Amino acid sequence: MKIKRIFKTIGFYLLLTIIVLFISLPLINMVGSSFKSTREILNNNNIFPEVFTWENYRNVLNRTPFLTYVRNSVVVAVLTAVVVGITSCLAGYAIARYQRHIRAFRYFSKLFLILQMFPAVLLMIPLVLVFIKVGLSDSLLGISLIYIAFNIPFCTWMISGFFEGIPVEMEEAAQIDGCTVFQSFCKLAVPLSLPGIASIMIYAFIGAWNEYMMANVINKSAEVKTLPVGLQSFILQFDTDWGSLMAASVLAIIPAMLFIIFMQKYIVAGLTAGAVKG
Amino acid sequence: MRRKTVKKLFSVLLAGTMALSLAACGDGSGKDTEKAAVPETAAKEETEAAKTKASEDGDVVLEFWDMPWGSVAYQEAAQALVKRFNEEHPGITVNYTSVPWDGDYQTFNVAITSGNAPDVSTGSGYSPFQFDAMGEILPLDDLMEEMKADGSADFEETAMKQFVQNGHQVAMPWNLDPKCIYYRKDILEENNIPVPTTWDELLDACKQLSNGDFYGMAIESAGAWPLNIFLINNGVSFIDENKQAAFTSDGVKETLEYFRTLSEEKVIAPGSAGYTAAEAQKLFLQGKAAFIPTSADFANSIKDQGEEFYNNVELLAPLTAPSGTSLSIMGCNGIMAYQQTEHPDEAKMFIRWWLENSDTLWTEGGMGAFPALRTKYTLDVFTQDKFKAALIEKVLPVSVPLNYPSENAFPAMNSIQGELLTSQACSMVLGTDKPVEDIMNEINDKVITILDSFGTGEE
Repeated sequence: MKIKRIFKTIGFYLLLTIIVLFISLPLINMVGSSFKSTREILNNNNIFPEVFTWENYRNVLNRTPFLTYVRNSVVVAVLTAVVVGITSCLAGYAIARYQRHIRAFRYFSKLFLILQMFPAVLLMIPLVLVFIKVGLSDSLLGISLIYIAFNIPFCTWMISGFFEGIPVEMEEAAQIDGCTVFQSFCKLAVPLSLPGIASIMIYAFIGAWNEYMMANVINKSAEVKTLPVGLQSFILQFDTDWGSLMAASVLAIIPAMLFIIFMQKYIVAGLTAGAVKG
Repeated sequence: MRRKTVKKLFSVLLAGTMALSLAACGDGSGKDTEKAAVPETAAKEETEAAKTKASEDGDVVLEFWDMPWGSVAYQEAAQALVKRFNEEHPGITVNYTSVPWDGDYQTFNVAITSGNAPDVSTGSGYSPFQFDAMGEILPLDDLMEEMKADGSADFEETAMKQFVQNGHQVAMPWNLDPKCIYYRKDILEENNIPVPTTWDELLDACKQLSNGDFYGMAIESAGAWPLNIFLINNGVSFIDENKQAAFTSDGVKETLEYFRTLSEEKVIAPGSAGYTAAEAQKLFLQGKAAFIPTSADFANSIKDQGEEFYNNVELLAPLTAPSGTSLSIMGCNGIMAYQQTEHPDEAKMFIRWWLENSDTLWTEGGMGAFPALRTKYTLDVFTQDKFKAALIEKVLPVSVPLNYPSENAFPAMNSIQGELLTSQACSMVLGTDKPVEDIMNEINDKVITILDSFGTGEE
């Protein structure tokens, strides 16, 4: 019986390992290719290099403003995540707690979902016009404001679900003990909703990290380009510098991976806990 | 009752938003639509005023947007060249920006319609025509006349005529991007196969060589340049000399049927219907294919494979097609100036300087495309390279752009190329059993729609 269980466990983890390796194959191939010369990338199908080389990384780090792109993406993504986290929490709490008293709030969060249907591409020209007039074009602040504005509606809707899951009676008890509404929000609601807050911050971070079109249109100078736009410099009209692109891509995912590894314990809980109410 | 009213209002609002969201899915076609999208004069004037960024010394500042015509080395060379221009021209400062290919049309379109166009840019072949239709391109007639007058307009003849719309020069020819067929001469010699000169000979060679994992030809469908190479070689294209849809011609049928034969005879890889250029090129570089119709700058990858491989690959002279023609296809890309520029004279001066002084983009930048100015063909980088020399000798003189047989391009070509119609045709021919006539009619209908939407550019 015990042996059977052991075999079952081994089999289960073996299967999981195979599935994970299969899903991760493109990533593994990317890492392997980053250590190959472009010649070797094109003339064989091996995942790992026959001749190991750091040339691609040297090319990317020494001959391109790659670290500038990383810095810009980190600044924009972190700023977006923090501002969206704070703003959405405040708005989501208000919607969750006051929808019983203010009927309009019941539909307000649904309006956020309607906003998600609006194609962002229609906003490109008006945004560029406005940003030029206020002096925000070609700047990290400008693109951060766009990402913050785009992410707040969905994140507010998401976090309001988490706040609804916290019993009102707990906060009422805290208020009876002397807490103000803001204090019960900060000391009770926020700590209990940390999984949700982490989820929305990760969502906003990844959205800002990966976004290409707005960053490409709004920011032109090399000093303010973000990573997704910077990676495009290796893609030519009819050719691609594969070695440099693979190396740059490996470097590009490191900050996002570190962020997600750090926050991962909150992700799964965050994705499911908000769906449970009462 | 009140709840029902609110629900009704909510439903109407939701439906209205969904309807509005479909606006982004429209074909955005028609000159009127494009003109309506342009914000009117007040915004442009304010933006132009803001754009006059004279320095304390009263320098003229030009914004130059360049495409990545090469990788890291090209961008270094281009920035160095701009720096050299700035040093040689005190009083004019050019700011260099590299615009990624992905989303380039949106980038330029948004910049132009928001009044934030650069002063000068390079760009893909048909973009100046589309922007000219929006009234945004600065005509360069005087620049071309000036260069003709002093004998320096030594452009490839086809390129010279390409960038003319309604009698105006909408861009100066900047570079040429020919397509060709590379082949493994060692494999042909080993199998006693003569170098093919016609389509039938090519098919025979491929049939003799195809065996298991080895294929006669490596073909990609995603970009579909191989099909374009054979269509133009056969003297046909999407349009006729009157710029009317012509994808149902006998020559097109002949070409599509040839491609279907390649598939039926199994001389191409089974996945060719979905192959990208990189996948087809990889097949060739791994020694699994004998012929590859592709972009000329694939020569760089061939060289990367080492001396032995490089010596075993040659460039095929344009074949004699069933129609009797021996044409080849090339992309013509231009350098253009915009109406929004505050400094048109300086912009034109910079364009001329860039055309005439850009040797380092090839000698140091490794640019894959060819200069439109023939005087540059004497550079060692062309004469000492067997592929480049062969392209100059055998391919460029018979190369025409995709808008052949029309002498000049026009706005609709931007969409014909951008909609990847050749790719669709190639995928259907290689990957399905759909009758060739049906494929031709389907693609032709799309060409007609595009031509009706965008017109032929003639006022």
